[in-house]
Amino acid sequence: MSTYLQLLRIACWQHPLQRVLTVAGAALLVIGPFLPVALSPPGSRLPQTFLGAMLVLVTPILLGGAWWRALSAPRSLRLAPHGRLRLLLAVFAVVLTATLLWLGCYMLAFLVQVPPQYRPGFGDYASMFTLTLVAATYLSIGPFIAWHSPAGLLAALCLWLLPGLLLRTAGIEMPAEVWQRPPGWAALAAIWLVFSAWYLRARRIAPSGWLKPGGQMLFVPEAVAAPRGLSPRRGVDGLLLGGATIPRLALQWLGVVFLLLLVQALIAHYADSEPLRVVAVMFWTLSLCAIVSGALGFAIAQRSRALWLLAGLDRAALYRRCEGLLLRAGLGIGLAFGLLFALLWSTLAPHPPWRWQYLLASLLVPGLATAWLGLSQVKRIVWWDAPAAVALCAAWYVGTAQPLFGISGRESWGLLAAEVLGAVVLREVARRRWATVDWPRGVTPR
Amino acid sequence: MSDVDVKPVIVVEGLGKTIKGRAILQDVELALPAGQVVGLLGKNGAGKSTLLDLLLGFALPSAGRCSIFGHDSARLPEAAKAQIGFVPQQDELVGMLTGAQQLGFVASLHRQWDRALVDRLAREWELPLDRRISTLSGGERQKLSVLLALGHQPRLLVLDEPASALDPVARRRFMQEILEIAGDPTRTLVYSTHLVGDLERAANRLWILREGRLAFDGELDALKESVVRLHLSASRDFATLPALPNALHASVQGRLAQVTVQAWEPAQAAALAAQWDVEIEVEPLGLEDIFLALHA
Repeated sequence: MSTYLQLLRIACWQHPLQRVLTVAGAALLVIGPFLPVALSPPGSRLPQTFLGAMLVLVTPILLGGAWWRALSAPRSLRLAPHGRLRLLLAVFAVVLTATLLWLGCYMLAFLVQVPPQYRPGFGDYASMFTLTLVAATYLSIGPFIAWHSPAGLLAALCLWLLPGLLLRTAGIEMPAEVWQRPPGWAALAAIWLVFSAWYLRARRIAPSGWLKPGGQMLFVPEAVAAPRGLSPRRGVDGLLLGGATIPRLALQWLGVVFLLLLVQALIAHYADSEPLRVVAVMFWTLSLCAIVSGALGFAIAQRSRALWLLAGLDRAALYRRCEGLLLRAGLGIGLAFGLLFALLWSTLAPHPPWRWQYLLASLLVPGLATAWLGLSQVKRIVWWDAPAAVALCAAWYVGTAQPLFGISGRESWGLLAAEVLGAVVLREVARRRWATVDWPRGVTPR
Repeated sequence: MSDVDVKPVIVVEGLGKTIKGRAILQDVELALPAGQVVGLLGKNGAGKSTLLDLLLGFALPSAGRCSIFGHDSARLPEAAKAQIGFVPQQDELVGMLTGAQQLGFVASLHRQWDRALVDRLAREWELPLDRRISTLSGGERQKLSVLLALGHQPRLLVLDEPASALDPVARRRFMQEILEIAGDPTRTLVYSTHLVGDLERAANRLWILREGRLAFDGELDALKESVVRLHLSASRDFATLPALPNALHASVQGRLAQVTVQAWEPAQAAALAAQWDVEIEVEPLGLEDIFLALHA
């Protein structure tokens, strides 16, 4: 199989969850424009189409940089004839494929919904292609840099801001227009050339400092209090939380998300973005809470095997201990996010068209479900986990993202209640799995 | 001697484990008295790690039961767990902690902790406890795992490939510790490894697993006495291989033949020599040769 096909397989077909997302996305992509009912006003079916494309692309966008790094890092790649060059070309081919997929969404949507005389011409499609390729270039090279380390993430953010700032300094108000002209094409080619030159000549490409088993994880406490004289309970908590404490975790996330919000505010300021969209993006950032609590539940589940002997508890008691810790830590992290929410609500204007109670609940409630989904990963059952994760994503999209970004302005308390119900079901699933778990071997806790 | 010491430390009855329709272990029966050092041998995929997982309660059996210190492995009480030390094949250390922090956390979970022993071993094994575990080499992580298992002076120590990543110097020192533990009649050791040389030095009992079934359970010395290689020397070429009972492997070259047999009794030699009109020389085998012969 060619490197290109291998990469496509890793990007969209490696994990059962990816397969579910790819199949669901592809199906939505194809049938979305033909659905008799539009999911959102004003009758456009574009959201369905792009939701389908996003389902296919979300994993490669989020994790592509890490995979690319992981594939580039082995020294054996340098021994393979033109190994790096082939990998680079394959990545570029995947970027082109994603660009064409995105463009294809537009073409399909216009073909189905718009009368022939109003459809875009070749020139319009060429412009869209260039702009999409610019975005795809950033979403491939940017994450490659960002996955290196926290410093890499900062560098990627700076690189994201730099072109806009430079163009604005040069008196160009619409940077997008520049990308559609020959100087923009030349700049795009230059980006790839410079990056390729470095990539092909670099003596060593480091694996991701965020994910590698031997590397540091972000937001790791730098100094944990000397563990002498710990009580057994604190010892168990310490091992499950990787040496952190709940206040420390809450403070770390408070700091990290505050930093993210600050960067967003700076970008919005310099890019002169539409205020309501800026507000939506900043509130939407707080839905990170769900990912954090899911990851915390997952980490606790991964570390639990060693405690079967050490903690002297049976399976049910160990589950209760882990769940209790997860809830306490989740509460701490939830408080941090709640504080940031209060900060945003009191400083940003205009507000999204909801009561604050609903907005806050819609941002925090998914975290309950993801926490228990993470905790249930002590044992994986793909046919259940994948649909559950997809259902959570869908609920989050309909209940939080759609309304926030103005696709729909309705408060949907029923959906939030359904998410709570889902969390209760996932808790029961987690409890049952822990009761009969065969702890998997070979899982290295971080 | 206390009541606990009289009872077998490990009892396994009709143990079986099936995963996704594939039988990993079948009908395993074992009883291990206290004070024994038992080596667990088997080819890759024979079910060694699964057996250890079932013994320690990490996994639940599909059939039969196993108990440690008289308690069902699936529901080990705290007191029983406190008496067990375990070194997993792949370490379960928390990468973001330093070695000292991980030791501290684990020490906090035990009522007794031999700090002097741990400090001494860490010094002798040149283990950098101040470094983050994620930056330690494979061998250093393995040393730390062993320290974590030894610190609370467990009465049952279960080692799953504990020395595979250790350098020769560290392995020698590690084996010295194991031999010291082996000398304590109150402590029991289950040692799974492919390094049969290590087993020969430390173990007095052997479990051999073959395709999920127990192929041998007995004293190591008894196995070494019962599996031997016979060198047969005849006055003329062998027309066919001599049909020996319990033969595991045989080869013929002219008037010389080699036959590896199990369940060998020294008294058989004279009778066989007379029966085939051959001279027989009995060669005792090392554990590695025995293992190879049993799996030939």
